[in-house]
Amino acid sequence: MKSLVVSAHCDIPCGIYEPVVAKIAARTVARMTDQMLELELPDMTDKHAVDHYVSSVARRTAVKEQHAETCKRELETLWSDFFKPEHLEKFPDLHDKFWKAIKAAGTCKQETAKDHADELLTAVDEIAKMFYEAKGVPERFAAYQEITDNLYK
Amino acid sequence: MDDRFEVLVTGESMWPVLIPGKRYIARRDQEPAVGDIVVAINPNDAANTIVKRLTVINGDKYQLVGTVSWSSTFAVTRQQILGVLTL
Repeated sequence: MKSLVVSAHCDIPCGIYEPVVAKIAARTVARMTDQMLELELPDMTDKHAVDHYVSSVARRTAVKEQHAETCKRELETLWSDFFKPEHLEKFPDLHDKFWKAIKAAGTCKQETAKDHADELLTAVDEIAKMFYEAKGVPERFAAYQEITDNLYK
Repeated sequence: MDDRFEVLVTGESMWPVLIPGKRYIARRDQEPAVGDIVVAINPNDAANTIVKRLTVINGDKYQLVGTVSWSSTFAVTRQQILGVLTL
């Protein structure tokens, strides 16, 4: 008797996919970027102040790095596990959108620039919109935005 | 009685005017004016004190803000202000 080896679509087929996590991570990246850009250089002859500044920037860089990585991982999961080849018919630029979003997350790790952080936020939003449309619940995109755009207001 | 007291700053909300971990001197006998950095009882948590810049005085409402955009803004009464920082 012949046997057929098949593989499941997901490591553990939990069926739980949600772009909110990627957006929160992207917002964290943007928040850290904004704060680092705003932090003024202290008096460079004041060692205590310089030490504190270096520590402050290092901590924010670490958080930015970690959340950019989280964002990448969450996007990759949506890309590889949630979206299927049939979605390409409705969203022909699906691969391009994911590729650009994941590249943007990488650029946010390399640099501290508001433009890149904003680019990542926009890219995650575009993917979220596709995601809710693909799930057949486009109205949930508004709820997603309401939650993720008001995290620290 | 000495009208001065020492203030140990924690947190970055007054960066770079005040450096966390540094000690500053405040005076009790100085009437706070707009632009001063003041030490006050936190109106949301009386067990804690805050140090911010006084930006508006409106009757008995004193508005205190930090220097960085992510700092909270507080409204305190004159009685809640403990002193004015000397820099």
